[in-house]
Amino acid sequence: MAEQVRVSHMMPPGHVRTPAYLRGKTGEIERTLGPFGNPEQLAYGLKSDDKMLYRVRFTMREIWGEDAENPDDTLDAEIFAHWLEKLD
Amino acid sequence: MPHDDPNDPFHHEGMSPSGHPYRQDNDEALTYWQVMEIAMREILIEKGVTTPAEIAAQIEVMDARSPADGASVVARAWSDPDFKARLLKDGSAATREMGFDIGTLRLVVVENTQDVHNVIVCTLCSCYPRNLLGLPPDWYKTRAYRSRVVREPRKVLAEFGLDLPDSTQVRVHDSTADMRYIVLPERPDGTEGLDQADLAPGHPRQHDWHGHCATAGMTRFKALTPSAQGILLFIGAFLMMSIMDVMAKELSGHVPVLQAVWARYTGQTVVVFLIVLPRIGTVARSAFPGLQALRSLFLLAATSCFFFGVSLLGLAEATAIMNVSPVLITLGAALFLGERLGIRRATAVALALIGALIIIRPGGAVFSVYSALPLIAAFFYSGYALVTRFVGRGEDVWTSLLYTALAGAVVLSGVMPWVWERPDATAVALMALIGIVGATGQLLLIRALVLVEASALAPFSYVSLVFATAWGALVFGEYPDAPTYLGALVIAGAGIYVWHRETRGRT
Repeated sequence: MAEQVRVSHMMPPGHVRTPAYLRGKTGEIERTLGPFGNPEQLAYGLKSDDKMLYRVRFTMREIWGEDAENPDDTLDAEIFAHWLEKLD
Repeated sequence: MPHDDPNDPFHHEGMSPSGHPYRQDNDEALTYWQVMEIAMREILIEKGVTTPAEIAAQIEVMDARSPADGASVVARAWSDPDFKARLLKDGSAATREMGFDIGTLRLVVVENTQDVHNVIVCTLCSCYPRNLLGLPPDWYKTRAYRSRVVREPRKVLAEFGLDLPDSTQVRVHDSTADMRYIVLPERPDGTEGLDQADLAPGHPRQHDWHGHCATAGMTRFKALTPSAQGILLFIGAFLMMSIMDVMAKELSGHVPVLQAVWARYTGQTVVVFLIVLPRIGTVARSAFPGLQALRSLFLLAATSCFFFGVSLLGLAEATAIMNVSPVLITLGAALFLGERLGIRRATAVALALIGALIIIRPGGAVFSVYSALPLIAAFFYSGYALVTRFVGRGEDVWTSLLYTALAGAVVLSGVMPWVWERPDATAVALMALIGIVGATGQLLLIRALVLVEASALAPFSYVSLVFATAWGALVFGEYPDAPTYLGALVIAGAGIYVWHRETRGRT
Protein backbone atom coordinates (compact mmCIF):
# COMPACT_ATOMS: atom_id res chain seq x y z
CA MET A 1 0.00 0.00 0.00
CA ALA A 2 1.70 3.15 -0.99
CA GLU A 3 1.94 6.37 0.49
CA GLN A 4 -0.76 8.65 -1.02
CA VAL A 5 -4.32 7.43 -0.47
CA ARG A 6 -7.79 8.84 -0.81
CA VAL A 7 -10.62 7.94 1.56
CA SER A 8 -13.65 6.68 -0.39
CA HIS A 9 -16.52 9.10 -0.55
CA MET A 10 -19.15 6.49 0.36
CA MET A 11 -22.02 7.06 2.73
CA PRO A 12 -23.18 3.54 3.56
CA PRO A 13 -25.66 3.00 6.38
CA GLY A 14 -24.66 1.06 9.48
CA HIS A 15 -21.82 1.09 11.99
CA VAL A 16 -18.93 2.68 10.14
CA ARG A 17 -15.68 3.79 11.75
CA THR A 18 -14.58 6.12 8.99
CA PRO A 19 -15.42 9.66 10.11
CA ALA A 20 -17.55 11.56 7.60
CA TYR A 21 -15.27 14.60 7.74
CA LEU A 22 -12.45 12.54 6.23
CA ARG A 23 -14.39 10.95 3.39
CA GLY A 24 -13.07 11.98 -0.02
CA LYS A 25 -9.91 13.44 1.54
CA THR A 26 -6.37 12.56 0.51
CA GLY A 27 -3.61 11.71 2.94
CA GLU A 28 -0.54 9.59 3.30
CA ILE A 29 -0.01 6.33 5.14
CA GLU A 30 1.71 7.08 8.46
CA ARG A 31 2.07 3.43 9.43
CA THR A 32 0.49 0.05 8.83
CA LEU A 33 -1.16 -1.33 11.94
CA GLY A 34 -1.94 -4.86 10.75
CA PRO A 35 -5.12 -6.86 10.21
CA PHE A 36 -8.11 -6.17 12.45
CA GLY A 37 -11.70 -7.39 12.53
CA ASN A 38 -14.03 -5.24 10.44
CA PRO A 39 -16.25 -3.23 12.79
CA GLU A 40 -18.91 -2.93 10.08
CA GLN A 41 -19.55 -6.68 10.54
CA LEU A 42 -18.55 -7.09 14.20
CA ALA A 43 -21.11 -4.50 15.28
CA TYR A 44 -23.91 -6.79 14.11
CA GLY A 45 -22.47 -9.99 15.53
CA LEU A 46 -21.43 -11.14 12.08
CA LYS A 47 -18.38 -13.18 11.36
CA SER A 48 -15.73 -10.70 10.41
CA ASP A 49 -13.10 -10.77 7.73
CA ASP A 50 -9.87 -9.22 8.92
CA LYS A 51 -9.07 -6.02 7.09
CA MET A 52 -5.77 -4.17 7.06
CA LEU A 53 -5.82 -1.06 9.19
CA TYR A 54 -3.70 2.00 8.45
CA ARG A 55 -2.91 5.24 10.16
CA VAL A 56 -3.42 7.94 7.56
CA ARG A 57 -2.07 11.46 8.02
CA PHE A 58 -4.00 14.37 6.52
CA THR A 59 -3.10 18.03 6.50
CA MET A 60 -5.64 20.44 7.98
CA ARG A 61 -5.47 22.22 4.59
CA GLU A 62 -6.73 19.06 2.92
CA ILE A 63 -9.54 18.57 5.42
CA TRP A 64 -10.74 22.13 6.00
CA GLY A 65 -9.31 24.07 3.06
CA GLU A 66 -7.15 27.16 3.12
CA ASP A 67 -9.13 28.75 5.95
CA ALA A 68 -8.06 25.96 8.29
CA GLU A 69 -6.88 27.21 11.66
CA ASN A 70 -3.31 26.32 10.70
CA PRO A 71 -3.20 24.58 7.30
CA ASP A 72 0.11 22.85 8.06
CA ASP A 73 -1.10 21.12 11.22
CA THR A 74 -2.02 17.49 10.70
CA LEU A 75 -4.62 14.96 11.69
CA ASP A 76 -4.03 11.21 11.89
CA ALA A 77 -6.85 8.68 11.81
CA GLU A 78 -7.10 4.90 11.55
CA ILE A 79 -8.77 3.87 8.30
CA PHE A 80 -9.49 0.33 7.08
CA ALA A 81 -8.10 -0.80 3.71
CA HIS A 82 -11.49 -1.16 2.06
CA TRP A 83 -12.05 2.57 2.56
CA LEU A 84 -8.80 3.60 0.91
CA GLU A 85 -8.06 4.21 -2.77
CA LYS A 86 -4.47 4.19 -3.82
CA LEU A 87 -3.27 7.31 -5.63
CA ASP A 88 -0.41 7.37 -8.09
CA MET B 1 -7.46 19.34 33.16
CA PRO B 2 -7.23 19.09 36.92
CA HIS B 3 -3.85 17.36 36.85
CA ASP B 4 -2.54 20.35 35.04
CA ASP B 5 -4.24 22.97 37.15
CA PRO B 6 -1.35 25.29 37.88
CA ASN B 7 -3.10 26.50 40.97
CA ASP B 8 -3.39 23.05 42.41
CA PRO B 9 -0.80 20.68 41.09
CA PHE B 10 -0.42 19.01 44.44
CA HIS B 11 -3.41 16.86 45.05
CA HIS B 12 -6.73 15.74 43.80
CA GLU B 13 -9.04 16.27 46.71
CA GLY B 14 -12.66 16.02 45.68
CA MET B 15 -11.68 14.25 42.47
CA SER B 16 -12.83 10.92 41.14
CA PRO B 17 -10.54 7.91 41.60
CA SER B 18 -9.15 8.62 38.14
CA GLY B 19 -8.21 12.10 39.26
CA HIS B 20 -10.88 14.01 37.39
CA PRO B 21 -13.57 16.29 38.76
CA TYR B 22 -16.93 14.73 39.45
CA ARG B 23 -19.82 15.94 37.40
CA GLN B 24 -22.49 17.86 39.21
CA ASP B 25 -25.37 15.82 40.53
CA ASN B 26 -27.85 15.17 37.79
CA ASP B 27 -31.24 14.83 39.36
CA GLU B 28 -33.10 15.20 36.13
CA ALA B 29 -35.07 12.44 34.44
CA LEU B 30 -33.04 9.67 32.82
CA THR B 31 -32.07 10.20 29.23
CA TYR B 32 -32.99 7.78 26.50
CA TRP B 33 -29.49 6.27 26.56
CA GLN B 34 -29.43 5.89 30.32
CA VAL B 35 -32.72 4.01 30.18
CA MET B 36 -31.31 1.84 27.39
CA GLU B 37 -28.17 1.12 29.44
CA ILE B 38 -30.18 0.09 32.49
CA ALA B 39 -32.52 -2.04 30.38
CA MET B 40 -29.59 -3.75 28.67
CA ARG B 41 -27.84 -4.40 31.97
CA GLU B 42 -31.00 -5.89 33.48
CA ILE B 43 -31.57 -8.13 30.46
CA LEU B 44 -27.98 -9.39 30.52
CA ILE B 45 -28.31 -10.19 34.22
CA GLU B 46 -31.73 -11.87 33.76
CA LYS B 47 -30.39 -14.01 30.94
CA GLY B 48 -27.41 -15.02 33.05
CA VAL B 49 -24.83 -13.45 30.68
CA THR B 50 -23.33 -11.48 33.55
CA THR B 51 -23.99 -10.89 37.24
CA PRO B 52 -24.25 -7.75 39.39
CA ALA B 53 -21.11 -8.91 41.21
CA GLU B 54 -19.18 -9.11 37.95
CA ILE B 55 -20.30 -5.64 36.98
CA ALA B 56 -19.37 -4.25 40.38
CA ALA B 57 -15.97 -5.97 40.21
CA GLN B 58 -15.31 -4.53 36.76
CA ILE B 59 -16.23 -1.04 37.97
CA GLU B 60 -13.77 -1.47 40.83
CA VAL B 61 -11.01 -2.59 38.49
CA MET B 62 -11.63 0.44 36.31
CA ASP B 63 -11.75 2.82 39.25
CA ALA B 64 -8.48 1.42 40.58
CA ARG B 65 -6.69 2.53 37.43
CA SER B 66 -5.45 6.07 37.47
CA PRO B 67 -3.35 8.38 35.34
CA ALA B 68 -0.52 7.59 37.77
CA ASP B 69 0.20 4.41 35.79
CA GLY B 70 0.64 6.47 32.65
CA ALA B 71 2.86 8.89 34.57
CA SER B 72 5.11 5.98 35.58
CA VAL B 73 5.46 5.00 31.94
CA VAL B 74 6.37 8.59 31.06
CA ALA B 75 8.89 8.82 33.91
CA ARG B 76 10.59 5.64 32.74
CA ALA B 77 10.69 6.85 29.14
CA TRP B 78 12.28 10.12 30.26
CA SER B 79 15.03 8.38 32.13
CA ASP B 80 15.66 5.24 30.03
CA PRO B 81 16.37 5.92 26.32
CA ASP B 82 16.15 2.23 25.35
CA PHE B 83 12.76 1.92 27.01
CA LYS B 84 11.62 5.09 25.27
CA ALA B 85 12.62 3.60 21.90
CA ARG B 86 10.66 0.41 22.68
CA LEU B 87 7.70 2.45 23.92
CA LEU B 88 7.50 4.51 20.73
CA LYS B 89 7.85 1.37 18.63
CA ASP B 90 5.27 -0.75 20.47
CA GLY B 91 3.43 1.02 23.27
CA SER B 92 1.49 -2.05 24.43
CA ALA B 93 4.55 -4.30 24.77
CA ALA B 94 6.63 -1.67 26.57
CA THR B 95 3.78 -0.92 28.99
CA ARG B 96 3.26 -4.63 29.74
CA GLU B 97 6.99 -4.94 30.29
CA MET B 98 6.56 -2.50 33.19
CA GLY B 99 4.02 -4.86 34.72
CA PHE B 100 0.80 -3.02 33.90
CA ASP B 101 -2.16 -5.25 33.12
CA ILE B 102 -3.58 -3.44 30.11
CA GLY B 103 -5.66 -6.33 28.80
CA THR B 104 -6.21 -6.13 25.06
CA LEU B 105 -5.24 -2.46 24.84
CA ARG B 106 -3.38 -1.61 21.63
CA LEU B 107 -1.35 1.42 22.58
CA VAL B 108 0.32 3.95 20.30
CA VAL B 109 2.63 6.45 22.01
CA VAL B 110 3.18 9.78 20.27
CA GLU B 111 5.98 12.03 21.36
CA ASN B 112 5.85 15.78 21.99
CA THR B 113 8.97 17.65 20.98
CA GLN B 114 9.96 21.28 20.63
CA ASP B 115 8.40 21.26 17.18
CA VAL B 116 5.43 18.90 17.58
CA HIS B 117 2.50 18.95 19.98
CA ASN B 118 0.11 15.98 19.92
CA VAL B 119 -3.57 16.01 20.81
CA ILE B 120 -5.76 12.94 21.23
CA VAL B 121 -9.47 12.75 20.50
CA CYS B 122 -12.10 10.23 19.55
CA THR B 123 -14.55 12.06 17.30
CA LEU B 124 -16.82 9.03 16.89
CA CYS B 125 -17.29 8.12 20.54
CA SER B 126 -14.97 8.25 23.55
CA CYS B 127 -12.09 5.83 22.86
CA TYR B 128 -9.45 6.33 25.53
CA PRO B 129 -6.62 4.16 26.89
CA ARG B 130 -8.80 3.22 29.87
CA ASN B 131 -6.83 0.06 30.59
CA LEU B 132 -3.82 2.22 31.35
CA LEU B 133 -5.17 5.61 32.48
CA GLY B 134 -8.57 4.71 33.94
CA LEU B 135 -11.70 6.60 32.96
CA PRO B 136 -11.39 9.65 30.73
CA PRO B 137 -12.24 13.09 32.07
CA ASP B 138 -15.77 14.18 31.21
CA TRP B 139 -14.67 16.95 28.88
CA TYR B 140 -12.95 14.36 26.70
CA LYS B 141 -16.34 12.82 25.94
CA THR B 142 -18.19 16.06 25.21
CA ARG B 143 -19.41 16.88 21.73
CA ALA B 144 -17.78 20.28 22.05
CA TYR B 145 -14.29 18.84 22.55
CA ARG B 146 -14.71 16.08 19.99
CA SER B 147 -16.02 18.30 17.23
CA ARG B 148 -13.86 21.35 17.89
CA VAL B 149 -10.44 19.82 18.50
CA VAL B 150 -10.16 18.43 14.96
CA ARG B 151 -11.24 21.78 13.50
CA GLU B 152 -9.49 24.31 15.74
CA PRO B 153 -7.07 22.40 18.00
CA ARG B 154 -4.99 25.47 18.83
CA LYS B 155 -7.99 27.40 20.06
CA VAL B 156 -9.13 24.46 22.17
CA LEU B 157 -5.65 24.06 23.66
CA ALA B 158 -5.53 27.78 24.36
CA GLU B 159 -8.75 27.43 26.33
CA PHE B 160 -6.98 24.80 28.42
CA GLY B 161 -4.23 27.35 29.02
CA LEU B 162 -1.72 26.21 26.42
CA ASP B 163 -0.77 28.76 23.76
CA LEU B 164 1.40 27.19 21.09
CA PRO B 165 3.62 29.22 18.78
CA ASP B 166 3.08 28.88 15.01
CA SER B 167 6.46 27.19 14.79
CA THR B 168 5.07 24.20 16.71
CA GLN B 169 3.15 21.75 14.53
CA VAL B 170 -0.06 20.41 16.02
CA ARG B 171 -0.84 16.77 15.31
CA VAL B 172 -4.34 15.68 16.16
CA HIS B 173 -4.89 11.93 16.49
CA ASP B 174 -8.44 10.72 16.00
CA SER B 175 -8.85 7.26 17.60
CA THR B 176 -11.22 5.98 14.96
CA ALA B 177 -10.59 2.24 15.22
CA ASP B 178 -8.56 -0.21 17.28
CA MET B 179 -5.66 1.91 18.58
CA ARG B 180 -5.58 3.93 21.77
CA TYR B 181 -3.13 6.78 22.30
CA ILE B 182 -1.07 8.43 24.96
CA VAL B 183 1.22 11.42 24.52
CA LEU B 184 4.77 11.27 25.78
CA PRO B 185 5.26 14.87 26.94
CA GLU B 186 8.56 16.60 26.42
CA ARG B 187 10.73 16.25 29.47
CA PRO B 188 10.59 19.63 31.22
CA ASP B 189 13.73 21.70 31.52
CA GLY B 190 15.10 21.79 35.00
CA THR B 191 14.44 18.10 35.69
CA GLU B 192 17.77 16.89 34.32
CA GLY B 193 18.95 15.94 37.77
CA LEU B 194 15.94 13.81 38.64
CA ASP B 195 15.96 10.07 38.11
CA GLN B 196 13.04 7.82 37.30
CA ALA B 197 12.01 7.34 40.92
CA ASP B 198 12.02 11.10 41.47
CA LEU B 199 9.86 11.64 38.40
CA ALA B 200 7.44 8.81 39.10
CA PRO B 201 4.03 9.32 40.69
CA GLY B 202 3.84 8.98 44.43
CA HIS B 203 7.22 10.60 44.82
CA PRO B 204 6.77 14.10 46.19
CA ARG B 205 9.02 15.52 43.51
CA GLN B 206 6.77 14.17 40.81
CA HIS B 207 4.72 17.28 41.36
CA ASP B 208 7.61 19.36 40.19
CA TRP B 209 7.42 18.06 36.69
CA HIS B 210 3.68 17.83 36.87
CA GLY B 211 3.67 21.51 37.56
CA HIS B 212 6.22 22.03 34.82
CA CYS B 213 3.96 20.42 32.25
CA ALA B 214 1.06 22.49 33.47
CA THR B 215 2.52 25.92 33.29
CA ALA B 216 5.07 25.49 30.56
CA GLY B 217 2.67 26.59 27.89
CA MET B 218 0.72 29.16 29.85
CA THR B 219 3.35 31.57 30.66
CA ARG B 220 3.84 34.70 28.66
CA PHE B 221 7.60 34.48 28.48
CA LYS B 222 7.55 31.27 26.52
CA ALA B 223 11.03 31.70 25.16
CA LEU B 224 12.51 31.04 28.60
CA THR B 225 13.05 27.64 30.14
CA PRO B 226 10.68 26.79 33.02
CA SER B 227 13.58 27.12 35.44
CA ALA B 228 14.33 30.62 34.26
CA GLN B 229 10.63 31.50 34.42
CA GLY B 230 10.41 30.10 37.94
CA ILE B 231 13.41 32.10 39.07
CA LEU B 232 12.02 35.30 37.53
CA LEU B 233 8.64 34.73 39.17
CA PHE B 234 10.38 34.05 42.48
CA ILE B 235 12.37 37.28 42.22
CA GLY B 236 9.15 39.04 41.20
CA ALA B 237 7.52 37.69 44.36
CA PHE B 238 10.29 39.18 46.49
CA LEU B 239 10.02 42.46 44.61
CA MET B 240 6.31 42.57 45.51
CA MET B 241 7.02 41.69 49.14
CA SER B 242 9.66 44.41 49.32
CA ILE B 243 7.19 46.93 47.91
CA MET B 244 4.72 45.75 50.54
CA ASP B 245 7.35 46.41 53.22
CA VAL B 246 7.92 49.91 51.82
CA MET B 247 4.18 50.54 52.02
CA ALA B 248 4.07 49.20 55.56
CA LYS B 249 6.88 51.47 56.61
CA GLU B 250 5.27 54.47 54.96
CA LEU B 251 1.89 53.59 56.47
CA SER B 252 3.38 53.44 59.94
CA GLY B 253 3.84 57.21 59.68
CA HIS B 254 0.11 57.66 59.05
CA VAL B 255 -1.76 55.00 61.03
CA PRO B 256 -0.97 52.51 63.81
CA VAL B 257 1.13 49.56 62.65
CA LEU B 258 -1.60 47.06 63.51
CA GLN B 259 -3.93 48.96 61.22
CA ALA B 260 -1.43 48.44 58.38
CA VAL B 261 -1.21 44.73 59.21
CA TRP B 262 -5.01 44.59 59.22
CA ALA B 263 -5.13 46.21 55.77
CA ARG B 264 -2.57 43.76 54.45
CA TYR B 265 -4.53 40.70 55.62
CA THR B 266 -7.96 42.01 54.77
CA GLY B 267 -6.80 42.95 51.27
CA GLN B 268 -5.28 39.53 50.76
CA THR B 269 -8.44 37.83 52.03
CA VAL B 270 -10.50 39.71 49.46
CA VAL B 271 -8.09 38.91 46.61
CA VAL B 272 -7.79 35.22 47.48
CA PHE B 273 -11.51 34.91 48.08
CA LEU B 274 -12.31 36.37 44.67
CA ILE B 275 -9.85 34.01 42.97
CA VAL B 276 -11.10 30.83 44.65
CA LEU B 277 -14.77 31.85 44.57
CA PRO B 278 -15.70 29.36 41.81
CA ARG B 279 -14.51 26.46 43.96
CA ILE B 280 -14.90 27.96 47.41
CA GLY B 281 -16.65 24.80 48.61
CA THR B 282 -13.56 22.61 48.24
CA VAL B 283 -11.03 25.27 49.10
CA ALA B 284 -12.71 26.26 52.34
CA ARG B 285 -12.58 22.68 53.60
CA SER B 286 -9.42 22.12 55.59
CA ALA B 287 -8.11 18.72 56.61
CA PHE B 288 -6.08 20.29 59.43
CA PRO B 289 -8.07 23.13 60.99
CA GLY B 290 -5.92 23.14 64.16
CA LEU B 291 -2.63 23.33 62.30
CA GLN B 292 -4.07 25.92 59.93
CA ALA B 293 -4.92 28.07 62.93
CA LEU B 294 -1.40 27.65 64.33
CA ARG B 295 0.19 28.52 60.99
CA SER B 296 -1.99 31.55 60.59
CA LEU B 297 -1.13 32.84 64.08
CA PHE B 298 2.58 32.36 63.45
CA LEU B 299 2.39 34.29 60.21
CA LEU B 300 0.27 37.00 61.78
CA ALA B 301 2.81 37.38 64.60
CA ALA B 302 5.67 37.42 62.09
CA THR B 303 4.03 40.11 59.96
CA SER B 304 3.13 42.21 62.98
CA CYS B 305 6.65 42.04 64.42
CA PHE B 306 8.17 42.77 61.05
CA PHE B 307 5.89 45.71 60.30
CA PHE B 308 6.66 47.12 63.77
CA GLY B 309 10.32 46.47 62.99
CA VAL B 310 10.35 48.37 59.70
CA SER B 311 8.46 51.23 61.27
CA LEU B 312 11.40 51.74 63.62
CA LEU B 313 14.44 50.42 61.74
CA GLY B 314 15.80 50.86 58.26
CA LEU B 315 14.33 48.60 55.61
CA ALA B 316 17.69 47.04 54.82
CA GLU B 317 18.52 46.28 58.47
CA ALA B 318 15.11 44.78 59.18
CA THR B 319 15.14 42.70 55.99
CA ALA B 320 18.68 41.46 56.62
CA ILE B 321 17.76 40.30 60.12
CA MET B 322 14.58 38.69 58.81
CA ASN B 323 16.73 36.71 56.40
CA VAL B 324 18.00 34.45 59.16
CA SER B 325 14.73 32.55 58.78
CA PRO B 326 15.99 30.02 56.16
CA VAL B 327 18.65 28.73 58.53
CA LEU B 328 16.23 28.86 61.46
CA ILE B 329 13.95 26.64 59.39
CA THR B 330 16.82 24.19 58.98
CA LEU B 331 17.33 24.24 62.74
CA GLY B 332 13.62 23.84 63.46
CA ALA B 333 13.31 21.00 60.97
CA ALA B 334 16.04 19.20 62.91
CA LEU B 335 14.46 19.90 66.31
CA PHE B 336 10.80 19.30 65.50
CA LEU B 337 10.59 17.30 62.30
CA GLY B 338 13.51 14.96 62.97
CA GLU B 339 15.57 16.06 59.98
CA ARG B 340 19.32 15.68 60.16
CA LEU B 341 21.49 18.47 61.53
CA GLY B 342 25.22 17.99 61.21
CA ILE B 343 27.96 20.10 62.69
CA ARG B 344 28.36 22.11 59.47
CA ARG B 345 24.75 23.13 59.28
CA ALA B 346 24.65 23.88 63.00
CA THR B 347 27.66 26.14 62.48
CA ALA B 348 25.90 27.91 59.62
CA VAL B 349 22.85 28.49 61.81
CA ALA B 350 25.07 29.98 64.51
CA LEU B 351 26.85 32.14 61.93
CA ALA B 352 23.57 33.50 60.59
CA LEU B 353 22.50 34.46 64.10
CA ILE B 354 25.87 36.12 64.64
CA GLY B 355 25.25 38.01 61.38
CA ALA B 356 21.94 39.19 62.81
CA LEU B 357 23.70 40.27 66.03
CA ILE B 358 26.28 42.22 64.01
CA ILE B 359 23.40 44.25 62.58
CA ILE B 360 21.46 44.53 65.82
CA ARG B 361 24.59 45.35 67.87
CA PRO B 362 23.12 44.53 71.28
CA GLY B 363 24.61 46.71 73.97
CA GLY B 364 26.05 49.08 71.41
CA ALA B 365 25.28 52.75 71.09
CA VAL B 366 22.72 52.27 68.34
CA PHE B 367 21.02 49.29 69.98
CA SER B 368 17.36 49.42 70.80
CA VAL B 369 15.07 46.64 71.82
CA TYR B 370 13.17 47.29 68.62
CA SER B 371 16.11 45.88 66.70
CA ALA B 372 15.10 42.49 68.02
CA LEU B 373 11.65 42.74 66.40
CA PRO B 374 12.72 41.46 62.97
CA LEU B 375 14.59 38.63 64.68
CA ILE B 376 11.43 37.69 66.60
CA ALA B 377 9.59 37.97 63.28
CA ALA B 378 12.11 35.57 61.76
CA PHE B 379 11.44 33.05 64.54
CA PHE B 380 7.68 33.30 64.04
CA TYR B 381 8.09 33.08 60.30
CA SER B 382 10.20 29.94 60.67
CA GLY B 383 7.52 28.44 62.88
CA TYR B 384 5.00 29.24 60.19
CA ALA B 385 7.16 27.65 57.48
CA LEU B 386 7.73 24.51 59.57
CA VAL B 387 4.04 24.00 60.27
CA THR B 388 3.40 24.57 56.57
CA ARG B 389 5.95 21.90 55.76
CA PHE B 390 4.30 19.60 58.31
CA VAL B 391 0.83 20.19 56.88
CA GLY B 392 2.63 19.53 53.63
CA ARG B 393 0.94 18.36 50.53
CA GLY B 394 -2.12 17.13 52.37
CA GLU B 395 -3.57 20.57 51.96
CA ASP B 396 -4.44 22.64 48.93
CA VAL B 397 -2.11 25.67 48.70
CA TRP B 398 -5.19 27.82 48.17
CA THR B 399 -6.75 26.52 51.36
CA SER B 400 -3.61 27.52 53.23
CA LEU B 401 -3.52 30.91 51.53
CA LEU B 402 -7.17 31.59 52.29
CA TYR B 403 -6.88 30.60 55.95
CA THR B 404 -3.73 32.57 56.70
CA ALA B 405 -5.28 35.68 55.16
CA LEU B 406 -8.66 35.15 56.78
CA ALA B 407 -7.26 34.43 60.25
CA GLY B 408 -5.20 37.63 60.18
CA ALA B 409 -8.16 39.66 58.97
CA VAL B 410 -10.54 38.23 61.58
CA VAL B 411 -8.18 38.50 64.57
CA LEU B 412 -7.12 42.04 63.71
CA SER B 413 -10.66 43.15 62.93
CA GLY B 414 -11.42 42.17 66.52
CA VAL B 415 -8.85 44.62 67.88
CA MET B 416 -9.36 47.39 65.32
CA PRO B 417 -12.03 49.22 67.41
CA TRP B 418 -9.32 49.97 70.00
CA VAL B 419 -6.57 50.73 67.50
CA TRP B 420 -8.23 52.35 64.53
CA GLU B 421 -7.26 55.84 63.55
CA ARG B 422 -8.92 57.69 60.73
CA PRO B 423 -6.55 57.34 57.75
CA ASP B 424 -5.73 60.31 55.54
CA ALA B 425 -6.00 60.04 51.75
CA THR B 426 -2.47 58.66 51.32
CA ALA B 427 -3.06 56.06 53.99
CA VAL B 428 -6.35 54.99 52.43
CA ALA B 429 -4.60 54.43 49.08
CA LEU B 430 -1.73 52.55 50.70
CA MET B 431 -4.11 50.42 52.79
CA ALA B 432 -6.07 49.51 49.68
CA LEU B 433 -2.91 48.59 47.77
CA ILE B 434 -0.90 46.79 50.44
CA GLY B 435 -3.13 43.73 50.50
CA ILE B 436 -3.16 43.49 46.71
CA VAL B 437 0.61 43.79 46.51
CA GLY B 438 1.07 41.24 49.29
CA ALA B 439 -1.35 38.80 47.65
CA THR B 440 0.34 39.27 44.27
CA GLY B 441 3.66 38.42 45.90
CA GLN B 442 2.18 35.28 47.43
CA LEU B 443 0.66 34.21 44.10
CA LEU B 444 3.94 34.76 42.24
CA LEU B 445 5.66 32.69 44.90
CA ILE B 446 3.20 29.83 44.43
CA ARG B 447 3.62 29.98 40.65
CA ALA B 448 7.39 29.94 41.03
CA LEU B 449 7.25 26.92 43.34
CA VAL B 450 5.11 25.11 40.80
CA LEU B 451 7.78 25.60 38.17
CA VAL B 452 10.92 25.02 40.17
CA GLU B 453 11.69 23.04 43.29
CA ALA B 454 11.82 25.15 46.45
CA SER B 455 15.36 24.16 47.35
CA ALA B 456 16.63 25.33 43.96
CA LEU B 457 15.00 28.73 44.45
CA ALA B 458 16.10 29.31 48.04
CA PRO B 459 19.33 31.23 47.34
CA PHE B 460 17.43 33.73 45.24
CA SER B 461 15.44 34.80 48.29
CA TYR B 462 18.42 36.92 49.27
CA VAL B 463 17.49 39.34 46.48
CA SER B 464 15.19 40.74 49.13
CA LEU B 465 18.34 42.33 50.63
CA VAL B 466 19.04 44.10 47.35
CA PHE B 467 15.47 45.30 47.00
CA ALA B 468 15.28 46.45 50.62
CA THR B 469 18.55 48.36 50.33
CA ALA B 470 17.45 49.99 47.08
CA TRP B 471 14.00 50.99 48.37
CA GLY B 472 15.47 52.19 51.64
CA ALA B 473 17.80 54.51 49.76
CA LEU B 474 15.32 55.62 47.09
CA VAL B 475 12.20 56.08 49.18
CA PHE B 476 13.44 56.82 52.67
CA GLY B 477 16.98 58.07 52.06
CA GLU B 478 18.40 55.35 54.31
CA TYR B 479 21.94 54.25 53.63
CA PRO B 480 22.94 51.19 55.68
CA ASP B 481 26.20 51.40 57.59
CA ALA B 482 29.15 49.03 57.24
CA PRO B 483 28.12 46.60 60.03
CA THR B 484 24.73 46.15 58.34
CA TYR B 485 26.39 45.22 55.06
CA LEU B 486 28.74 42.86 56.91
CA GLY B 487 25.94 41.23 58.88
CA ALA B 488 23.82 40.85 55.75
CA LEU B 489 26.71 39.19 53.95
CA VAL B 490 27.26 36.78 56.85
CA ILE B 491 23.54 35.91 56.96
CA ALA B 492 23.30 35.41 53.20
CA GLY B 493 26.57 33.48 53.14
CA ALA B 494 25.43 31.12 55.89
CA GLY B 495 22.07 30.61 54.18
CA ILE B 496 23.62 29.87 50.83
CA TYR B 497 26.08 27.48 52.47
CA VAL B 498 23.20 25.56 54.10
CA TRP B 499 21.38 25.52 50.79
CA HIS B 500 24.48 24.17 49.10
CA ARG B 501 24.82 21.41 51.72
CA GLU B 502 21.18 20.45 51.37
CA THR B 503 21.08 20.26 47.60
CA ARG B 504 24.55 18.87 47.01
CA GLY B 505 24.54 15.23 45.99
CA ARG B 506 20.86 15.31 45.24
CA THR B 507 21.27 16.41 41.67
